[in-house]
Amino acid sequence: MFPVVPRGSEEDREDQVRERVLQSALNFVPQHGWSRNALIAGAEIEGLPSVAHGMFPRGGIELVLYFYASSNQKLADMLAAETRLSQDGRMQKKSTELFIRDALETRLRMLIPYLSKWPQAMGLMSLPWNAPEALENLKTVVNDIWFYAGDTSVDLNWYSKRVSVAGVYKSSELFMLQDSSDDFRETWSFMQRRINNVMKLGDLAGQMQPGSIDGVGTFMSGAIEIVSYILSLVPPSF
Amino acid sequence: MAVSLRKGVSLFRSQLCRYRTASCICKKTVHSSAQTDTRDNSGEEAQTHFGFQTVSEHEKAEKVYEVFHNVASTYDVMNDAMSGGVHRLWKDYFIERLGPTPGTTLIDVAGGTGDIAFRFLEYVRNQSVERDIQRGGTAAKGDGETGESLYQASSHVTVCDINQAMLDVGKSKALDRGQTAGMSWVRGNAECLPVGDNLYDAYTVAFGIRNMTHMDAVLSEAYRVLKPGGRFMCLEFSRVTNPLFRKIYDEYSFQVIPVMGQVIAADWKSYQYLVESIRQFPPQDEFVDRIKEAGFKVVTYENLMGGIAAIHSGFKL
Repeated sequence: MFPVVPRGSEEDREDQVRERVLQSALNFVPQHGWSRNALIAGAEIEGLPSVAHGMFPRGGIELVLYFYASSNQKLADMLAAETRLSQDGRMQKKSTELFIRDALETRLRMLIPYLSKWPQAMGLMSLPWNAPEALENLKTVVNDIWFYAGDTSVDLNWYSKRVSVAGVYKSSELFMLQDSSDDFRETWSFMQRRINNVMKLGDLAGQMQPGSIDGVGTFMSGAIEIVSYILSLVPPSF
Repeated sequence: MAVSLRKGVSLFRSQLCRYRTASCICKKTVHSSAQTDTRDNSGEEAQTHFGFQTVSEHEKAEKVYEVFHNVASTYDVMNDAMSGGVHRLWKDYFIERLGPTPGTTLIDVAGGTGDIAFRFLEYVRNQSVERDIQRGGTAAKGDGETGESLYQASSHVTVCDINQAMLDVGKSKALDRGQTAGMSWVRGNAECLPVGDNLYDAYTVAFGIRNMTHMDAVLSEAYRVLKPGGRFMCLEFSRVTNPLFRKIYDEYSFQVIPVMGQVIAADWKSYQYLVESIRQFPPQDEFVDRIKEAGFKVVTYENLMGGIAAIHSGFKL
């Protein structure tokens, strides 16, 4: 028999059942991909009939979005715990750069079990009708990272900081797909170089004084170079 | 008179209802569908609608029986003529949404002519061939035995219809197709299904529920026979949302369909009933509420062709 969840409202129970199916379905992603078949296998493991996959009418993308959101949540919990430790003084506070680097690595490592099927997930997320939710998820990652890094900016920097970290994340993710080095060593050093780019951009912006035009030329050429690295328009030099 | 008639009807019901259980609501007949049924205290038979007419409940059951008895032989031809063949696409899509796998057990209610049942078996057969190919390709090598036997061994559809004439059409179609395995044909009332509890993975009813007298009883029965986690799916005519399109659709329904019925099937009244009964059926959201009231969870619906038809779905969780 199907185990009865004693407490909680009916909607909670619905969500719990759905979440259990999704969680079990993730185990079948390496085999079936992000697909209805993975959802079917997940439902069966949870003791439900295969047709229970119909709770996810959009099929594989629902599994992708669940994985994305739950991984984001896991990262946010870890970052919150880390921040608490450093505030209590039980851990040395990291520099912002290191904090962001570690957070991005942690998040990217969550993809490793599914890496062989991750291009399929990226494809699903880039479909026009799925893209808004996928972007929302990406926004959540970078927002959480900056929040726990202690960012308090309320100006235009708020946007530029998030865009640049999102760029580092997405380009490192792409790099990771074809990285065959031990423990993804190449990916981490690629990511470090992208972070260096971003830092350089920040320094340049800092040198700009209000009313001065001396630095504008340097700033612009530097900025364009860096943005094109981040967007992977130009192959970065290794 | 009315009282003795009702006794007769309930006798008929109790005979059909062999699996009377606590959850079987055969006795609870009237008050549940509050919208249409108003039984007064003097013991008069409750009233309901038959198309746009108001009739007593047992009269509706008889009239519906008569309609489907009359149309059974021309049912498929008329469906094609009226919908321009689109009903086939709807039914294909309906099964695709259900997405059954080898091993799925289905009860198709009001499915006498087998439209849903054959599609279900076909879909599962394709699935099992696909699985075989993935498993190492016995089917791909031209040896279809494994897939065939897998699907025959486990998948099953029970076709249930109250109308023998409709079941006969379905059975003869099954013979023509050479389709015998994995099917059984049962004559029974959807308000009191002659099957046990928690037996089926899925319950489907396509273009049937609007003809049933007590919809809430039908839904509760669906809930009863489904396994936990099982899915209820209903394909039914619904409410067209766009006002302009609704106008065109109404004109077509009332001006063209009965005429077609007369010309093709020599039966005006049955098709007049068809278009009227569609207007009497609750709109999408109201039907969602009724399904939820029966205990189903994750209840959703999807419009087909702007709401001419809709697929409602719910789960027994």
